[in-house]
Amino acid sequence: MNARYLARRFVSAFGMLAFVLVFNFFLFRIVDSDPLAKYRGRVLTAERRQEIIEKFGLDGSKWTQFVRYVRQTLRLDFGYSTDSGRRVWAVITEALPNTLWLVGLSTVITVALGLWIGAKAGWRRGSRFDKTSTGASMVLYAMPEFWLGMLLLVFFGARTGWFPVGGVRDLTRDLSGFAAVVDRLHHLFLPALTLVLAYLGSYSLIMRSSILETVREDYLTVARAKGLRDDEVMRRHAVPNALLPSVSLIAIGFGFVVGGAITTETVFSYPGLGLATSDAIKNNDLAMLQALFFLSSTALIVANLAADLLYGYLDPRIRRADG
Amino acid sequence: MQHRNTHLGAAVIAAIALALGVVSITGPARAQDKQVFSVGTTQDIDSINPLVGALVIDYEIWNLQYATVTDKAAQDFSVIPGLAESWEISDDGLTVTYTFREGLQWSDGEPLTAEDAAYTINRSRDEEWINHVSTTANLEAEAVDDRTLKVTSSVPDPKLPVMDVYIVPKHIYEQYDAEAIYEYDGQDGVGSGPFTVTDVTKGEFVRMEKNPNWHGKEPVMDEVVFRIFADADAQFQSLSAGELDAVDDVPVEVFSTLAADGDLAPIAGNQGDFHELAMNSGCGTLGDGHPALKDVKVRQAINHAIDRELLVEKVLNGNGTPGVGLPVSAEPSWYDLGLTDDEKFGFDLEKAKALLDEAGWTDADGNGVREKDGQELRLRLFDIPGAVSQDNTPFVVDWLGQIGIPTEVSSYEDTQLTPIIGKGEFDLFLWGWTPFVDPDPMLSYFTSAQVTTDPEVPLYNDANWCNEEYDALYEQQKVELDPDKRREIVQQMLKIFYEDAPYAVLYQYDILQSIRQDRWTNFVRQPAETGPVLFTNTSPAYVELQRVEGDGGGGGGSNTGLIIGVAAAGVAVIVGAGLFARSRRRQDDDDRE
Repeated sequence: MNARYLARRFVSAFGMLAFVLVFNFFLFRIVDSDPLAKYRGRVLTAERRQEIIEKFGLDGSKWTQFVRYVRQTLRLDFGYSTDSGRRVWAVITEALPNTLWLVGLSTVITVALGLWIGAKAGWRRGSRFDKTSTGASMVLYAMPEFWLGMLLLVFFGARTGWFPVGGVRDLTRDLSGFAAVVDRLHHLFLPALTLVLAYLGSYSLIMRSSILETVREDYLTVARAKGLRDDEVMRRHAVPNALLPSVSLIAIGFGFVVGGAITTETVFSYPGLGLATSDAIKNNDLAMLQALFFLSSTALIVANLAADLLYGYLDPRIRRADG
Repeated sequence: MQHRNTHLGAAVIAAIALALGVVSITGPARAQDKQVFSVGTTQDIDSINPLVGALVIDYEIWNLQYATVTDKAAQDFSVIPGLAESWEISDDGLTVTYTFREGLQWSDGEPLTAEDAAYTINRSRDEEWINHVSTTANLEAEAVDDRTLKVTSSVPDPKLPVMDVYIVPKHIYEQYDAEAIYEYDGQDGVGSGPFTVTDVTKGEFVRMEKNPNWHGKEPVMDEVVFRIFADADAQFQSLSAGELDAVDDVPVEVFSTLAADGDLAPIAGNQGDFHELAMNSGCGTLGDGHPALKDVKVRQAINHAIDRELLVEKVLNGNGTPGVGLPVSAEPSWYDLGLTDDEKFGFDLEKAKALLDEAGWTDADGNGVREKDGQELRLRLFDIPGAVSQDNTPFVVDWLGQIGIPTEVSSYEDTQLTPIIGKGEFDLFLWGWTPFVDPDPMLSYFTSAQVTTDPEVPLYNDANWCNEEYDALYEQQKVELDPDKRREIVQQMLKIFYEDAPYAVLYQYDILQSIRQDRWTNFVRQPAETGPVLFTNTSPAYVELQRVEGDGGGGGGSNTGLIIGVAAAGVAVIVGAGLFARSRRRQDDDDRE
């Protein structure tokens, strides 16, 4: 991989970051609303009111606020949440582990399962496995996530009582050690299943179509001619080549982990970053929104950069063409 | 292919964790002697610090954590002993001397004395604590001795001897100065009520434990856990699955099905919460409200164009009462104006049209829009997306259209709507209020003093309505010590408000709650018969709840399901990992060939 390719990718990633940083500030200020509306009508002295305005960084002109925002954000200081009055960073670090577990785990499962299904379906095009899995992928892919979540919740949560209806842990019992881990996994199951089912299709369908593209390639004929068994041809020659288009999809999938799963976390009252985002939107919590969008955009940009670099590594054609 | 090994590793780790989990869950069960009462709420906590929070859920927690000098009776909110067992009022009515119960203690074992109360009252007055100052603004408190509190008001105060502000522990609060107190998270769990906060995770739950030093009746449960739900439907599913014991916000569509389900008690409680169609009555100097709404006849016409009975039936599914007087208190007798049907704004489109004609707004060109002096009577109507009050919009639009007033509807989040109203840039909006027990705060909102004059500082009078007679009566009731006379003045004010019609009060809506009656019994409503059980003005219900005979468990889900689920997942992962490992090995063998 040559230096010029690397430099270009890094410059474009930093450019995007800078754009997000600026855009973020103005995006949430387009709507003319009062972030301090919850203090409406409270008996406040002028000084106390001023203190509150200053605490949340809402004093001074838009320009002053903007400069302060950029400076603070670059130091990873996101200020105070107008909703809870707590440090934004504290709120985020509280919700982050929940999200990493839920979205991280389900992304790993979705990617592995989706690629496997897609590869197998594409390889045996027209087989019963292909027809069933492609049909199922389409249906699940088209299904709204919150609706699927609600169905699973009603059936496997409320009706059968097999899984808890929401939350991250059983609050009525003192659990520790393994029992606590199992309790967490038990709570994780339905929201994770929702995410896996909802996103499975996007991976399996892409993988299927890129396998289909490789099927007629000469190198496969060569591999077969060498006398390799069919599933070996698939695993060692077709899949690695067909994986390329999936790389950026996978990278973006992991980039989204930090953003959380807004609708699924809401349906299951799962206190992660997705729920924090939807609360922040509802409460017009500027500082929270800025921080959450900045973080999730950063994660996506980094994931994209990683995909680009990986691409260059996996596919020599790209770096040559670029250089 | 390094990345494949990573997948394999993850699968194996998950399998091991699950396998071990299955082992431990089938081991000896932990003792479950603790009685937990789990309550679902769709509102996240604001703050546990009573100087900061302002939401219904915050009040519920404070009501459980902090005892007050006097308490409110469950049946009618009348004043009853709290921390004080008795009191004497001076002849001029300005001074009340309270005698505290003997041996009161904070939950941490520190003595709770009249000094704590005096400290709270005086400091909250000086520093204008938001949830205290409306009561303590004119008071001076003195702890004569540990059990004697003398409170003197600088003006006649009809609310005395009621002293229902949260008394805070001096030994904790004196560590924080006027600024630092707002940063205090209030989570040290020192309280004087039946339960105190032990554990809080914002967005997830609040756990309260029984206070061993609570002076009143001992509650049956050891803990009250408030679980926060992001979605009312999911919350209800959790109740019906048995994870929760009670929920506060039952979706209207499900509520009617509860009667058929013997396990879930339907509780429709009213504490005066209402929705209104507010009109920019034009007393404000800001904004661009439609001039027609300055005319009382136009406002009355709009009142006549609303079928309140139908709204209760269609919007609330019958869980409410058609609105008449402005609900100024959680106690309905305050705003029952005793009007005859003729005096009320009945649903009468013809009368509405006649009133508009009288006011000079007529539809001369027959295009369905009334006009006067070349100006059309088209109004902006604002509502809040997703709020129940928004469900009234299509009805209101239709009725107003029928009397020749077309409306242009826009929806704004409440945080956006507040500044718009503050700037006076509206004609009509649909929103609601929740009154306190004493009518004074709600009455004060509609005085001229509360009309917004600086858009940066929006005040309460969101109808921009002024009436000199109302203002004068407000000042009178504020210092009227004779309860009957005060009630008379208040009713007079409410009649003026009704006649002058800056609001069309649509209805008082019921708060829809449900409690698992297969587990709990003895539900105390506040006020009696009509009020809710939980989230009331003092929350006396928790200590009165009793277990149903023969029901042992508390709030947990079934263990069978847990074992089935975890075992199934574990088996699936182990089998998957096994297959994966096998295929890898075979591949390695092939490589060696």
